[in-house]
Amino acid sequence: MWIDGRRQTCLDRLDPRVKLAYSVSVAAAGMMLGQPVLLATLLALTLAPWLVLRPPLRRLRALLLVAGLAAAGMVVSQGFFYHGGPRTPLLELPCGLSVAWEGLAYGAVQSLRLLAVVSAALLVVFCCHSSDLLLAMTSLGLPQELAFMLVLALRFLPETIEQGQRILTAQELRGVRGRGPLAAVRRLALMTPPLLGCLARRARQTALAAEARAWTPRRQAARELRLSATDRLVLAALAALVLAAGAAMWGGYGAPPGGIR
Amino acid sequence: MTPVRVRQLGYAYASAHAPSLCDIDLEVEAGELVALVGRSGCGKSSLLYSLNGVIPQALGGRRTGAVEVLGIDPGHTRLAEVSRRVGMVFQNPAAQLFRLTVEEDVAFGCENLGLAPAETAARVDEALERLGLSPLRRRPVQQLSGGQQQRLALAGVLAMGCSVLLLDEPSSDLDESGRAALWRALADLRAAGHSVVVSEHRLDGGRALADRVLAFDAGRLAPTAEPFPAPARRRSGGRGDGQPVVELDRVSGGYTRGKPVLEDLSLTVRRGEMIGVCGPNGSGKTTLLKLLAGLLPPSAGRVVVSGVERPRPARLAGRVGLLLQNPDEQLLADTVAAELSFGPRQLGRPFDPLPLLARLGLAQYRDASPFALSRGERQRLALGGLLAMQPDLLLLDEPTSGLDQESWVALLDLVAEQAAANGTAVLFTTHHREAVEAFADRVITLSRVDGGDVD
Repeated sequence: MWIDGRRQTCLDRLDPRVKLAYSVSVAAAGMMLGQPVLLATLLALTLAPWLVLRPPLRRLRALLLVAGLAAAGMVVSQGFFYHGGPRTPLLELPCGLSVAWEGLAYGAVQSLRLLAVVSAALLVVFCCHSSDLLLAMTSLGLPQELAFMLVLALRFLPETIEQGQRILTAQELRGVRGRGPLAAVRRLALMTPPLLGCLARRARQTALAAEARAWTPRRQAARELRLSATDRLVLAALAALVLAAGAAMWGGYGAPPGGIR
Repeated sequence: MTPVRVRQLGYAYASAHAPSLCDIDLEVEAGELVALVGRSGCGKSSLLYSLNGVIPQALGGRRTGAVEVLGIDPGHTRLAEVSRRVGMVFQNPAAQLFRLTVEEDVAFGCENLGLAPAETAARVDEALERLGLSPLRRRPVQQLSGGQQQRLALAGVLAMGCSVLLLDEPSSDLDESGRAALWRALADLRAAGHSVVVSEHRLDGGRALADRVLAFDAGRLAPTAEPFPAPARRRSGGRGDGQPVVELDRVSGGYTRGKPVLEDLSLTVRRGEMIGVCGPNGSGKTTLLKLLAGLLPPSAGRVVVSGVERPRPARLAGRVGLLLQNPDEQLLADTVAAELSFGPRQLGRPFDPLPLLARLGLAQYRDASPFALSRGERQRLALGGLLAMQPDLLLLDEPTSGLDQESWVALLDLVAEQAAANGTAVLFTTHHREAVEAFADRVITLSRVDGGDVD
């Protein structure tokens, strides 16, 4: 999601811990709220920062497509399979399945919740470099060993994918062919030993190199995070959002056990 | 005080029958640049690992004799403590870059030493400046060229304050300008008072810069080293009169729309021809091979390979062989013999692997796992897997990389034999001028489309 060299906005300049707090706060509020109007308001709130960030159109189209498909899938599947209360069939299929109005409504509410949470999470990864995210997580208590593993995974994942593609090509040029699931399983089985062999060799080299550079979990980060006045203000606003959602839930506007009112 | 003193050093890996190092005596002064040369497996790396404590602390085995680096025995001092004094740059630069951006990677060692952020920042700035990497400080590490990655790894150990620097075959994947930039950086570090020990298969321009060149042979050191004689010319030349196997007509191609790596390239390769493809990193050598193997569609122009227009890997199976830089990526079978039979079996062709095994010098490993072989042997086996298919066209991506001269000459001899006997056309990319001079009937030199030079 991160784009190198993108114009930096006020959102980009926020402390990465604040960005994480934003994502967590929206998720918490989303879980507490249950009424469509409130969830739609929450979703609208999470969409507003995107206007500031203005992602490239191509990236936006891809995001909308993925989010739209996920939301539509949820509405349709709940339409078919919702059994949380009475069902009013809108459409009956010859195979015995039916689409119920309550299911569609429930799916729509769930989609609003999902979209709000996804929008907040995507915003964080769009305006926060992976290194900043990891720094934020370690400063919030993520063990250094785990953080190092995550960095290595991020660092080597693209190379490993490329390596897998090269192995598949080598197979094809040596006559491995065939389509369909069985052929795919066979190709995967053929790809596994060389890929694992390469990974094992690289892991050994990386471990030796890390030893040679004195790796230790008791390390001092080169950068220290400090909250600015703006960061504190945003944190206060996020706390207010969570409190308001909590109050709404206590006031009877949370997700009701019996379905949508 | 002499920073590096080695007396009667011997070492054997736990699983090895023969020792890797025997009776090594060596002293390296401050401000001295020592080059170690020798073929693969002769003990160069083992000596470097002994100097930074990885032997025996991480690799085990049995070490005898005495090693003293800046007053400590690295074999019996905590590695974290050793790494404050001794910096090691390994052969594969990509495997030793741990962080996502250049400046973060340089800071990695300082963070491990527990330095205050201000101190780390100052050291990072200085190391980047000394190695000419300051303009790239925010760049993702995977976007750097091989030469830049190698200098970045060097900057990382420099920032830790190491005064003894060890480099294990640092230039094996670098083009000429990358090698020159690396050797310039090493000469600067020597001038700044660092003790530098470099192991290499070949020295090129480094020979003039090194204070001493020591030859390694079967785990022993010789006081002086004569340069390896360049291999004699292997090909008679004057070929190229057969049927065309490759026809490129005004071809452009690349990975990003509007940014071609190859532009307006026309080329005909005929049966039996061996063509060397040269050029700096980023000039499109590998891209050309990908176009010919059908991995990358051209953005413009016409590509015909072995009679197949608009080639795709599946349509070229058995007609085109592609030898990748890393042989491990194309070893697909359980045993060496099965590896050779793999391709013909897929294509339903009868095949007896024994004669080819003998030609490759691998007959004794017939039932061994391909991954149990040495790097040079695995490279030969991967090539054997392609030769077994009797292809019309062989594409070799940097076949000399990481191999000593004896190994790559043996490898290209096999290829030349195939070209002469079966009329296989061959394109090989390389940074080795000697390989081109000895084996190529024709040389294509590519230059970067943007006119730049990555290193």
